[in-house]
Amino acid sequence: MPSGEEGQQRLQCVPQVIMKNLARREWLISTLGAVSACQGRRDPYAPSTDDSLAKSSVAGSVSRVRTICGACPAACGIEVRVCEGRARTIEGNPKADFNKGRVCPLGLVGVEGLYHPRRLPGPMRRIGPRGEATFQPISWDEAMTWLLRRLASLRALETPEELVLLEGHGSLTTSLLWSRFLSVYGSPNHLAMGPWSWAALARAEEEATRATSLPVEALQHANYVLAIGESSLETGPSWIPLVTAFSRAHRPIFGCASPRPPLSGPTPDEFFPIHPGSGGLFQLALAQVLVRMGVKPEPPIPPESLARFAPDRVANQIGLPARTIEGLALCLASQKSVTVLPDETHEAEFSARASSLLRQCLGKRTWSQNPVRTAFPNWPKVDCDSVAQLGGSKPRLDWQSDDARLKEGGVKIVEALVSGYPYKASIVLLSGEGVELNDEAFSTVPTVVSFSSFLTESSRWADLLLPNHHFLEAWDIHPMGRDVRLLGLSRPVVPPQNNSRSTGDVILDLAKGIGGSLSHALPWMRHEAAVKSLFSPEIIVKLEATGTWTVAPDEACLLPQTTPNPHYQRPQLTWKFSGAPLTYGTTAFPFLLVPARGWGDSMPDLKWIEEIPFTPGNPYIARLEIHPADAFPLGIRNGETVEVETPTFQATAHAFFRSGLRPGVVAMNRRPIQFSVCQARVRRSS
Amino acid sequence: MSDPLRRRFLSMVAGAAALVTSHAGYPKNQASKPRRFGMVIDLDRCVHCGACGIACSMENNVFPMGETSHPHARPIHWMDFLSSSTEASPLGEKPAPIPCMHCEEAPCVQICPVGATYRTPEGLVAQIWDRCIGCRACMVACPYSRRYYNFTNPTRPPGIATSPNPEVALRPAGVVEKCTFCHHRLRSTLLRRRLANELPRDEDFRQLPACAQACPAEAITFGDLNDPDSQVTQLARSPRSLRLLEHLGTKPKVIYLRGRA
Repeated sequence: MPSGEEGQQRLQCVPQVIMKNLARREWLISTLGAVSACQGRRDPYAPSTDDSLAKSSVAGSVSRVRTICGACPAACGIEVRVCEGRARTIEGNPKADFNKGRVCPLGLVGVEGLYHPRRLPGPMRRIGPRGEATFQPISWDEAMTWLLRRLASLRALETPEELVLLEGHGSLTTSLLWSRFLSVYGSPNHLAMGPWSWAALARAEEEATRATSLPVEALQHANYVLAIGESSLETGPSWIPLVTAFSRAHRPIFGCASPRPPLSGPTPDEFFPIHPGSGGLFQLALAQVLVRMGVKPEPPIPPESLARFAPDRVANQIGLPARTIEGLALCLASQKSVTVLPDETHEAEFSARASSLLRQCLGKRTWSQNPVRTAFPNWPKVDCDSVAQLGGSKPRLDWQSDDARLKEGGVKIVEALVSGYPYKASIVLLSGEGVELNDEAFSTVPTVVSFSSFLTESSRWADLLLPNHHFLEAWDIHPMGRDVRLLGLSRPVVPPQNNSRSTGDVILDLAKGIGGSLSHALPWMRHEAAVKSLFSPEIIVKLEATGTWTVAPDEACLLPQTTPNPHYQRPQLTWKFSGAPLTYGTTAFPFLLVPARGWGDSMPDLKWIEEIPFTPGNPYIARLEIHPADAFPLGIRNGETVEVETPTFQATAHAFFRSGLRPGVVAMNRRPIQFSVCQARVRRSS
Repeated sequence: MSDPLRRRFLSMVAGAAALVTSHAGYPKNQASKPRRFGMVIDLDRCVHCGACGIACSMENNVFPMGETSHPHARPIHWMDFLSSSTEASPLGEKPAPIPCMHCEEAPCVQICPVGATYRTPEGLVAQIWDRCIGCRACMVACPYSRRYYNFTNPTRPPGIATSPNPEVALRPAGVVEKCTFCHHRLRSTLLRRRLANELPRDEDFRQLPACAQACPAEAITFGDLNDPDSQVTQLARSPRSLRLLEHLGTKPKVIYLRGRA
């Protein structure tokens, strides 16, 4: 190491030496040349050189960046405090009309997710047996070549329908890009795996109401809020408006139909302890009563379609007396405005559609109004080639398929993947959070690609991991709460921390790699450009300045809109439900164990959120919620240690009495053991 | 006195004069009526989500304990949650947020042998971390168990290289800590108003602490209990109001509202 004086002398010498051998003009030319060469060779995925990001890394600098939270699809406005180039804390943006400065626990800990040590460092390829999560880092070029080769071969074999996308909740523009990619590629299988995923809600709502918004705006004026399943009240994406409605002086009545009463979130005024897995059936039974009683002069569905869901016929399956179901239906019909929040289950579209149908039967949204639907996104139409047309005409692998066998039993993605009926899936892409399949389904698919930033239960089955950006590193536009009048812009707050790449960029690169009509359909160079192409430059400028923007009535002309479709016809819905609800176990396993979700269950390993004292997501203390009437015969007292045994695993937990729980049902947090509903037995620990 | 020195001296004098003048123009605070900050938590609005606890921890650099720690340690929550097995308990069955009560007759202030815990002129029960000797007498004295002892030095969660909030000092091992009602935010707000030559308004305080700011249900309100027009005073007068362990005579300044059927 040179001493301080030596170092200074050397520094002073450097320009003199350079200048001694070069004329000033030559030096300037060579410098310019070097700069231009550097510009030319610049990695397109290198961290952004945005001024605001550069300034934020100056020592002592503190700035607040307004952006959109991406922890759930509600997209609340947030302010991120950035000190010396590092995001520190997240607060609500008081100027965002959607959440008005409020933010949920999941949003508050967004920074922890950004710097999480378990984030995948970059693209990785499987090197060990399937499901054992042994991966090797590879470069992005290698990863893209690997995936492109497989995608191109499917197209070459004229079987593009064998590409399946399972989408959880995530970025809106990524979902739009996937939708466009798949339609031009030739796959009908853009399947929703989360109840709040864009694809699920968009289809369910669009089919019923021609609108893609969440039932959020209805919360502001609702007299009755019926939540199917407790998770909507505890952690659902409509959570902030839900809490706003709950904390009003004249709040609506809150009802909840679930086997387990919510521990946090708005406390329900009325609780219906239904049988696990019967939420969809419960809604159809309510709809049947409403249709039968002629609440609406023009019912949205022929009464005979719902005849088999009459309360007296399904009461045993639901676990409630028929009179209770009829009473609730009449109570709902007498309310001025009702909002129904769908359950958070694997049967995403079924649940969302059942809720949508129930709302229709209540007559709060009419079929005949044919509302003006905003054309979102405002992207030009692209013609598909013959391969894509052929693939697109094939049935989908989920229950929406035209195939009668698939349609019979609700969502059957897992069964379709395992049986290979009506055709096998060759490549499964897992995009967004909350995608879950069982091991059997994964093991039958030749190629699985995950876009998750973390190694999850699903992504450990992947052959290729292409980690996505965190929401504080990515571009996106969200209609906040799915309402197109409230727009929010998500933008990078800090440079990318790992060698991750926006999934939107990956889609665009894949389209260019395959070429043909795909490259015409997705012409943008970067995800940022695709995001900005959604709206006019005036809107983008507004959004960049404020982070969020509420579109005033006189500014509605700035939004791309379509006129009402005079030829719009009400879709003919036929509801078939053959799946029997889960039954209580045998003498060996007398209980039904259901997962108690909470904020900690939403994203893995966020310490701050996991250590909320009462959260079901605490990974260190397993807590078994049990009805006192079930516990006393077993000699179990509140707080005691108990052994929980299921056919697949054993666990030790602390008993926690909950008198609202449905007898025969016990609930436990899913950490550290991941499980879904199963039979179990409980005994006092020795 | 040489010229440069003379100029420097004159500029200092001028600066001091300007400062005095500015203070002379500052609207007189209600000196006879010192502020008495308190908090109202409306349990009928609370949705028991835990956002207040997380916001508090991140604002005040209260790091999660994790799985491995000292065997006698308990996780630190400046904003903790009190659950009860019965609905008949004063705060109900569901977990209710409980910060430090900032008692007017605080037992912890009276018992602290080194004066590390003291009452500020604004009525907050504050603590000087560096002065604490870790005797834990205050923990024994506090009837609400709102004080925590640091058995270890602060350990950040993996991946969090720096403190989320550089404005709050970290507490080393051997020191007792507790909620400060986000004293740093309070001082910063008062200073900002003072520099603007204005009196602080009630709106400045209502959602000042991190817990109140984060609460999605707006169940937490902060303010001056000596200001009869402040929102917190009006809420404290509600027939639904109650104070925890009031019979002990500690006069807690955290008031709960509960009673909606």
